Amino acid sequence: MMSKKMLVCITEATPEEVVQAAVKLCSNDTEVYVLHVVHLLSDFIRKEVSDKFSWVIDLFKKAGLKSQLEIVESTDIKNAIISFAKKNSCDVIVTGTIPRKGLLGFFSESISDYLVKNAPCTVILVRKAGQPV
Amino acid sequence: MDVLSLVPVAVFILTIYLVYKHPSVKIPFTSKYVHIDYGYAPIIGVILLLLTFSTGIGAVWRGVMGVGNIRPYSILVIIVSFSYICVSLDYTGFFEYLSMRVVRLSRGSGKNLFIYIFLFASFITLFTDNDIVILTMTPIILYTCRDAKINPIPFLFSMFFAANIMSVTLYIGNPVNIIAADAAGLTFVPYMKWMLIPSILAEVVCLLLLWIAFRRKVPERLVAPEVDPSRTLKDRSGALFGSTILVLSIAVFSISPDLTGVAPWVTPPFFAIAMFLHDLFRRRPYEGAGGISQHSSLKEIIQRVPWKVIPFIIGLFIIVDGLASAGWTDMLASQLSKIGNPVLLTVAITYLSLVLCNFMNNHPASIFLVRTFQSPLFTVLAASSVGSSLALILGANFGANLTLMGSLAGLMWAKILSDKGQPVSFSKFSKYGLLIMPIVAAVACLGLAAELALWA
Repeated sequence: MMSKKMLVCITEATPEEVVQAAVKLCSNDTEVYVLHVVHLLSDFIRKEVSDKFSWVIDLFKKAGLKSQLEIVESTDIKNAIISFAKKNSCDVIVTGTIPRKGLLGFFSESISDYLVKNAPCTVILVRKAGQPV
Repeated sequence: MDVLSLVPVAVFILTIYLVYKHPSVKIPFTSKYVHIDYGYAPIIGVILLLLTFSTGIGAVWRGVMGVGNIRPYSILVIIVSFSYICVSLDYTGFFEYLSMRVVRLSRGSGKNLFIYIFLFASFITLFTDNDIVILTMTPIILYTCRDAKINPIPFLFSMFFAANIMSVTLYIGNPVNIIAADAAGLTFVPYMKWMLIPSILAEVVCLLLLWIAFRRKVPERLVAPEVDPSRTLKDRSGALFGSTILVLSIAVFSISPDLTGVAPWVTPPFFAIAMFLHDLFRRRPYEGAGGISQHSSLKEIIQRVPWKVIPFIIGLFIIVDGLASAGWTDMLASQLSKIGNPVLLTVAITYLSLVLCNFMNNHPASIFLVRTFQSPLFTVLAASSVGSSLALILGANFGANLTLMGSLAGLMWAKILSDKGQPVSFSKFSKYGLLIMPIVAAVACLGLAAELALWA
């Protein structure tokens, strides 16, 4: 499956495997948005996020693909991702999964679960090898 | 008590479960899901009570207008007004700026950073909701610790615990303070007179115990990031205006209604409206690199105001009214009244509230206990009556530090940390909470009991 507009959601917990999986799903003309949601977007945060996730942009670059880092300000991460995907007519969202165990796992729906249920497009969840579901 | 009296209990338990679980439920015959969060859960509870004839329209009216001293509408006006002012101020980058200054102030000392984070979180929580403390300080702490390559856990705990200790000091520190103080007929200054000493005692003991627990994990020296704090400010003049409005609103709110003849809940909306008008004319979103708005706009500020607290609190008042009508609050009131000794009663209610928060969340627990104190079977001395409300506030605030289930802010914090790759498990949090908070609560409620014995 090759997508035309891809949204890759990243957090500090996103492993390289997620980005590599996204790279494999791209064709040369795929437009890639790398999205990170922050609580407050100041100059400092913009610089910090750009530095922190430069490795993601580099991975796409190495594969000969163009990607752009998008920083969105919201405290509602799940809906910020959905809104971004809708606004930019993305046809696929690629995101990692974060295992939530125990009582917290029982009482909290993960972002990936929410995206699967509510996204307007295909959602691809990438699990790091060996990571619990 | 008959079988029918169990219906409100079942509905109450279901509501609490939904508040914690906030499930996504598929809407039949569509592909859409509805997210039943803390705003919807009490509405479902109220509908169930009405459908089972366990409550009537009168209870719905009482849920909005209140019973006795409790006036939910006034509580909500205060909560929403101060929330708007604080959220708007937060969006100027003001709290982030102060946080970065605190990091710089530590001058590379791990111990200083630990203490300053605790004191700064205590300061912000005096007048804002815990959400703002958590949302502002968590990323700064993670950034600082990642940059310095040190373990962020001690600093994160320092921030979170402080946010739930000093929040008892002022009337506006936590919505549960407003609910319980309003019911006890306490206004801003009399409330602070009672709570200042217990909160300072709790603050000192909590900091000491946290330091003992984490001292080996805090490095002696660290390389603090070289960041100019002013770069975290998004809107300098907005920050100045917002902080002025916040100070003024608290100052005016603290004036006794006996002097002004105006009920306290009337003034905060005027300041919130001033802030809103400022935001309306000043805030302009600009286009970022991808053509996407990358600036906080008025829409974002309005969306972040906790509007759902309105159905949440009103719904809970109605559901608890159902419990009261079925005699459950009377039953607890008569049991509590058997504790004749005011000191023992203060201690008992503090711990009861501390524990209840972790089974039913701090808002429902507070509303349930407040209605219990209104029962005619709660026959205690006047001093014990005020003491009971203050003890409830101590427990409802401190309870959020006992386990992550004590408040919705705790669950939110755990989710943020998990998403940022720094998970804190329920058991890890509880290990520190269960060790530290019973001692902190004991010191604070003994301080309160001493005040009651001396001054009441």
